[in-house]
Amino acid sequence: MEATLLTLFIAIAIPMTMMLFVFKGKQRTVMAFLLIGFYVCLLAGAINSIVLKYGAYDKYYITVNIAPAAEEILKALPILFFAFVWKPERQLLLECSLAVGVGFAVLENAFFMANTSDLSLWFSVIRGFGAGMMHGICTLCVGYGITLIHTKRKLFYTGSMAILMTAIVFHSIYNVLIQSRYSVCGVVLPAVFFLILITSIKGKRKNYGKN
Amino acid sequence: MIYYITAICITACSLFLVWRLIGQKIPMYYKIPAGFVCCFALELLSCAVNEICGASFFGDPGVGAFGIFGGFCFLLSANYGQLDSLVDDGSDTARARRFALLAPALDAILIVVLLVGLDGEIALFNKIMFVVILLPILPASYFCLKHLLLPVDAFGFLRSSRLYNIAVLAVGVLFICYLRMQMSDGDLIKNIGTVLAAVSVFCLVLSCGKGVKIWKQLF
Repeated sequence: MEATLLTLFIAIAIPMTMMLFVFKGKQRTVMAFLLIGFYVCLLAGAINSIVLKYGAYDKYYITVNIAPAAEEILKALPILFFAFVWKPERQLLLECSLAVGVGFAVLENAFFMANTSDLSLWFSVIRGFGAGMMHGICTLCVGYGITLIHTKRKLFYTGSMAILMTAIVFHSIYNVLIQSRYSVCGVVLPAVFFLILITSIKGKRKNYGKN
Repeated sequence: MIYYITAICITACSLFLVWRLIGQKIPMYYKIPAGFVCCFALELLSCAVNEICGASFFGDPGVGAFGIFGGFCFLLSANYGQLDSLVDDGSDTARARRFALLAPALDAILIVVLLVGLDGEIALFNKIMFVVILLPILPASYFCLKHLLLPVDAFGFLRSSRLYNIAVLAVGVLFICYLRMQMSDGDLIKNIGTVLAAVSVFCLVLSCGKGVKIWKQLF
């Protein structure tokens, strides 16, 4: 498992690392966080393998109960570090959060594609929309909580924890659905949340624009 | 069936709240409790999905129970993160702070009596997990009682949020009972617990709406 993931990581990350030397400013930062997302996926894979090897749990139990918590915490760490040390502007932090989530989803999808026996268009659509949106939304929400780190410290402590827990539960629900015969629901669930989020944000911008 | 219907109702309620609240010009303090409703909806959905897909592990609270932990973190965020620094400047509040300790003390006693004092049918690890999940109720109830006892502030938050704070205190107690009911064997008790918890969440939302109305009248 780790060998496949490592191979994929090298194959995808090296060309993208070269782009880092060309890009500048915000683009470079976002690209770097996309790469960090790949790396976090590699790390999460390693942790899950260790738990599977030495823990008294089977693979299904780990994907439902342990992996969501481990993955969400790991994805939050680089964003937290970035926010704490560099104090970036809010929009950039949100973009970087999304990049970590999407980067994670890309490598995870590549791993599942490389390991599945029945590779089909439907499978790729399910993985693409489902995992892409789920990881993106979860990390974006956690990133939103982290944006409060320098402005509202008290709210940051409790709010980030609350959002992280929400993301973990949401991730767990997705993992259960995507592995069951109701995998379509696994795609619909993040899609609905994504649509509500986007529509609400657009509505908010419109309201602020009017006032 | 009752469980699934309750889960669907709460999920619909949470989606509606998110839809309505984002972009509205009301204080953040009154928006944050929507997060609690979302967390509760996710907890119910998680249990329902696990049951349908055969992913529930006997006697295990599951990761879905962290929805309750997150939910009470949201309620704590509203009172501690958003409101406390606005209404408590440290002067003349020592009495309220002392008396406010009564709420978490009573909750802690209830947790100990209901959960830890169970007979040996539940594993020790699960008992510890349930206590951990219920931990944010203690600071949340402390700040709610403290804000009930504090004198009225200039922003009108304390005056408008009285009913909401009482509702949070009641929800805290009900959720401790709700988790205890979920640990019992009978389906009927589990369903009653779920419906009671859902009703208490609806009451919390209504009290929050009432608070917004009073706050708008004041300003």
